[in-house]
Amino acid sequence: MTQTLLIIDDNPDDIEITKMSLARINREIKVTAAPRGEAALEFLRGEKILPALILLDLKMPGMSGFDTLRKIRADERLKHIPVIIVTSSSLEADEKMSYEAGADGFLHKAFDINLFGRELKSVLERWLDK
Amino acid sequence: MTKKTKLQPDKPPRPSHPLRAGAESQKPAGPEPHSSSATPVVGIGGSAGSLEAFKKFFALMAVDSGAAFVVIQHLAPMHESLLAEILALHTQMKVVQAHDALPVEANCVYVIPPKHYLTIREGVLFLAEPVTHDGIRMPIDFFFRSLAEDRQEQAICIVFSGAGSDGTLGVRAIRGAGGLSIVQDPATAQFDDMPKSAVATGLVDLVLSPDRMPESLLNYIRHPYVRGGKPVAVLEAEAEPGGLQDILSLVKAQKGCDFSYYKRGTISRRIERRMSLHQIPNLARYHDLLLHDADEVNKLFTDLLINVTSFFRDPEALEELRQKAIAPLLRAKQSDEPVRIWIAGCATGEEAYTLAILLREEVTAAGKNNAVQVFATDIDAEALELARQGFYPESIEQDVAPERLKRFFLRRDNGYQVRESLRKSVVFALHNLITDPPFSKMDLVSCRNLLIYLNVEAQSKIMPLFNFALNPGGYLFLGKSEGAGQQTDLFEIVSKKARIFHRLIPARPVALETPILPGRITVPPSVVSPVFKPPVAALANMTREAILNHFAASVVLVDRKGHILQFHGQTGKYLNMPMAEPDLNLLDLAREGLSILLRAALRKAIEIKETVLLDNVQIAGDEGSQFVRVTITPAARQGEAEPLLAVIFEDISRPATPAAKQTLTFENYSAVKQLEDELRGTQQELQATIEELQLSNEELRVANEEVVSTNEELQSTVEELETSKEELQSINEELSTVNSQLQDKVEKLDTANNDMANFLKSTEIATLFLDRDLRIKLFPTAITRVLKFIPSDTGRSISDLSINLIDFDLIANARVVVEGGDIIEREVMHADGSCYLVRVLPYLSQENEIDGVIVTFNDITRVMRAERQTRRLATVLTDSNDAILLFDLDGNIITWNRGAQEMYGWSEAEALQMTIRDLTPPEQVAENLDLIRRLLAGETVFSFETRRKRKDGRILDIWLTTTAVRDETGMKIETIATTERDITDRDKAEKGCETFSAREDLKRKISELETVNKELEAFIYSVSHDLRAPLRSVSEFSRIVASDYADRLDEQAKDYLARVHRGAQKMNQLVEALLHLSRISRQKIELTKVDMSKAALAIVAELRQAEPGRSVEVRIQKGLIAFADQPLIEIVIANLIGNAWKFTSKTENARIEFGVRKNESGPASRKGAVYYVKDNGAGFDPEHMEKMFMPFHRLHTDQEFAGTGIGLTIVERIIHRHGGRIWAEGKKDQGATIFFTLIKRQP
Repeated sequence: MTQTLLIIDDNPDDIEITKMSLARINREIKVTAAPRGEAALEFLRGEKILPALILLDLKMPGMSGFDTLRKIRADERLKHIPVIIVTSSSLEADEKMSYEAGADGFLHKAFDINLFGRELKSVLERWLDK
Repeated sequence: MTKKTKLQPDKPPRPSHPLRAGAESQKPAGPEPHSSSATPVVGIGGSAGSLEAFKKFFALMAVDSGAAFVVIQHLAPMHESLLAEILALHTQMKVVQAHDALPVEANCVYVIPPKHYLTIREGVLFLAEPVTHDGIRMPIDFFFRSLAEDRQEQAICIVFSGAGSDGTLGVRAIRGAGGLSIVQDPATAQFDDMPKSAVATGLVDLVLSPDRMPESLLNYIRHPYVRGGKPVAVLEAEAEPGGLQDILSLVKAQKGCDFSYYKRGTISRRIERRMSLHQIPNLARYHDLLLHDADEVNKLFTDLLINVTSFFRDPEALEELRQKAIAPLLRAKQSDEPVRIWIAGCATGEEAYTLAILLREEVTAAGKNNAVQVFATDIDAEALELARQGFYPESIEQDVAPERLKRFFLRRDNGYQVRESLRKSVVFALHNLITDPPFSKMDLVSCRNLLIYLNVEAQSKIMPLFNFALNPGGYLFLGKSEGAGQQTDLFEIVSKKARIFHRLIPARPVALETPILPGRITVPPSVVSPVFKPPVAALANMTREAILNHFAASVVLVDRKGHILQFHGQTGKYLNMPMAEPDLNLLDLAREGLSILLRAALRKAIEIKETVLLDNVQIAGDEGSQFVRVTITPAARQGEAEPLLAVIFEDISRPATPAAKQTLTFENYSAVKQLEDELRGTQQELQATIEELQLSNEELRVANEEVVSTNEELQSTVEELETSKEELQSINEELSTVNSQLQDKVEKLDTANNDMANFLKSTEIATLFLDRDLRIKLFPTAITRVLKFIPSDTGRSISDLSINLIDFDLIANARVVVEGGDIIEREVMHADGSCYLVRVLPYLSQENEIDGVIVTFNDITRVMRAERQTRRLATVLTDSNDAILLFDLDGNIITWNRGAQEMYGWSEAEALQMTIRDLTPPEQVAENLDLIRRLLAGETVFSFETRRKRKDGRILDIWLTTTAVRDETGMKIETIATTERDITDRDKAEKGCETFSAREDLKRKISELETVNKELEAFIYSVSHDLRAPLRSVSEFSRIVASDYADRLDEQAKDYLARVHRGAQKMNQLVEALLHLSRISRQKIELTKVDMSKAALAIVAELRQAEPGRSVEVRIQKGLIAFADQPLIEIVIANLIGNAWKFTSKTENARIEFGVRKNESGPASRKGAVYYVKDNGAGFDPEHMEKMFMPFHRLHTDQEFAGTGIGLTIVERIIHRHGGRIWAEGKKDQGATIFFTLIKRQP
């Protein structure tokens, strides 16, 4: 059965880049995207089959990435889904807070696409190949 | 025979002792010797455990006793002795260590020095070489003997605790000379061997514990006996009741010995000594004591008899004796003749054994086999008992050579036992020379040092006695200075020196009287001399004879074999004369008819042990046959195992009864004869068997002797081991002594250590003690404030530990001091901000050698701060434009600043001579006084306007502020301070305000700028962050288009897309750089010690790895340590070296250097060290130097060298944040050097 991956990010370009990277990695994955936190939550609550992994951006208008993460973790049904924060921020503080908020991983939106692809690959291998 | 009393002590045995040569002794019949009234000398001897006793003794000993004290202790030869110093602490008397030729003074204490023996002669102490015997030393005996000879009755000896038996022979010598001997009570002695051994001589006067000795000693010394002078008292009282004669009679009655033949002087002195011991002043009282105290009589007797004898006395005389008497004697002897010697007055036997040994040696040396018989006699039964026991203390090692000891003695615990072989040669017997008959047939008579104590009459009677006792050709051996008297026809001199005389055959027969001298002499009941008893009375024999004669019996006494022992009466009738050889066997001699019967009868009589009667025996007599009755009866014989029989013959007439009874016919006779023959044969066989038995006995004896000799060898091994044991013991004692001395020292050391420890603890000044190798020896707790030490740091090298001192290399400085010795003193800052005055001093040993280093840290932080504050204030004061004055309570000006000078016109030098009054216009004087009064009253005075007078007379209007300055207690007012501002010119005032507000503006502006700056930084940060996302898109999508749609694009399009991509990349780099820069500006700096050299090396390694093809020479100085933020500095280094790497990429022989420039003002400069990174690459135009560090400004194009133009900006930012400076030098194409400093202090 194909796995689903949910990207929560307000920047369509970034979503596109991530998709392209996934294709290069050769993953048979179905990708869904949501531009904002609230939309994502609605979607998740409605879906019968939950995504195997969520990639979550931090800087979004409206509900921030952290808040979204906390809401996910608070939800009984959703809290077991692995959430990886994907962000362009290079602040250490952000990384720390992510883990404290309950993230399972932290991924930089590296400028070097190859680097980004490698990191994404290892994230997938870790969280999806269980 | 009289007793020997010895006034002469024994000489030490070694013949060539320097002190002994020429020592004179008394003449036999001359004036009696007595000592001069000189200082009594107390010889004190001790070994292990004696130090404590000495201390006690001297602490209590009176300091004005009039006696001198000589202390002999067994000392280890290698150590210096502290004994004199230790004793000096316990007595007021002067204590000195003896040196050679030191005269002895009263009330002084002299101590034996190590490695020497002491002797005394004529009141002067002399040092001598130690005399050792198998490692055992007897310095106490050595000195005591010398003391006895020199001081006579004024000699006193005390033996204290110790192991061994040193002192024992000394005690005898002292007593022999009439001195006093005291011994420490063995119960109070730590080692009781020496005291016990001395006490065992029986010659010790007092046995006391050390604290009781001083009193007894003092009493004795003060008695006239010791104080000297002639024994007049005793002599004068001779014939009086209770006088000398009565006393001697008492002695004679109780002890059976007559001392009236002794020289008066000798006796008197002895009696006086006893009196002094009991502190009895007159003779009558002493006589009284004797009447009541039988024990005192015994003691007096012993004193009179004092025998100081030793083995091998007078070795030279003995050698003469051997050569001139013994050797000739032996030569004249047959091989089986015994050599017989008589020693008159042998006392405890040493002399007897000595002569016996000499003789035995001579016999062996001559290769002969003669038996040696020594008869040793004396009147002192107790002494004889000791002589018979043959056991002597180990101190005889001083007198007897080791080979002789081995051969003739057996080593026992604490002494030597005479071997059986030697003991057998000597017979000891009680014999009184005067009353008992002499011995006879002697080869040698030795009577030494006995005659001199007898009076002339007795001496002259004894000589004939000796003459009688000797064989013709015999020798007489007398003591030193004894002579053969007037009777020159009895003896001729063989050796005058050794007193050897040859017996002459007297010209006229000598009338020998025994007893020699009249007097009712009773033999003491205890005397038994079995050897010389005359045979039992013959009365019984006479009675028997009478009976036998009367009854005309013929009796023969035979043994069981029939050998005749005694005839009586006419036995010829019954016995034949022997036929051939003379024969005394009854059975052979008996006439016919008798022998057979006799044989049988004898046997029966022996068997039944009763009388056997042979009746009616017919024998062939001279006149025909007769009839005989033979009675064979056992004869009583006491104590004999073998029974004897009496065979009694009686003639009887023809028997009444026919000869049928008890006769043996001739037929029986032949049978009997046969039996007799058989018996004889059996007897012969028996004889043969007996001889075989004897042979095997012989063999057994031989085997036995072998075993005995093995035994002896084992014995000698044992003795050797014993000797080693004694050596160890002796060493042990000496060590014990040293130990006592060391104990004292240790105690003192402990005290000193305690003082030191307390001192260190109490001191507030942090002190550090280092040894020569800069290892930590010692440090008080106070130092942990300055240097972080823990107790286990002691012993570690100082270079192992971290020292937070800025700019002060403790190790280097310490090394300088250790080598050079000068004191280094410096003010040093600590990393925590406090300031210390550090002094590094050399640690000097007692010999003034540098043994280490002391470092003290004196906290002068407060002082420094105070100084700094003062300096600051002084500057403020001095530079202030206002006039600031200080003046004392009398108005004298104490301080005058520049402002005052300007205002008033007076110079400082002038002003300091002036008072406030000089500055005050007359109208203001009262005001001034009032002002001062109010200040002193404690009022606060507000500033006010007033007037002052200038030097040039001009009057000023001033604004005055004044305060009272209190002293350090804060109570008393010391001085008054005024601040005065000239307000005559109002403009000036306003200017002050202006300056003031200008400053305020400045402050405000700075604050504003800082805020703006901070906002900018934040802005930059967030902008650059947000710029990155779109950049990413641009970059990525353009790339994707170029790659995924490559087939649909022409070259131009691809080219454009590539430019787009590159542009985005470049922008990203710039953004990253900006981000980096702003992060640098905001980041907190953490200062630590950073090893820049190490960081540089790592960076170079990375660069090399990235470009392995490039060969670049890199020189990095070692030890570039700085106080900085580690990650930031690494960025600096990475940038600078990275740049250098980059700009030398087109250079051949590229070279990069990173180091520190030595500042001209020394390594401890406040400005900080100047570091540099130098390369020989592309360089730059110096004109553009300032722009180098500006952001985004580049001096090269991207084609020449890639870069963002922000690297150096970042470096500059970091350096500035560290409080340092950065600048560059260089030339185009000739390389560049970037210099930078980092502030040495914490911000």
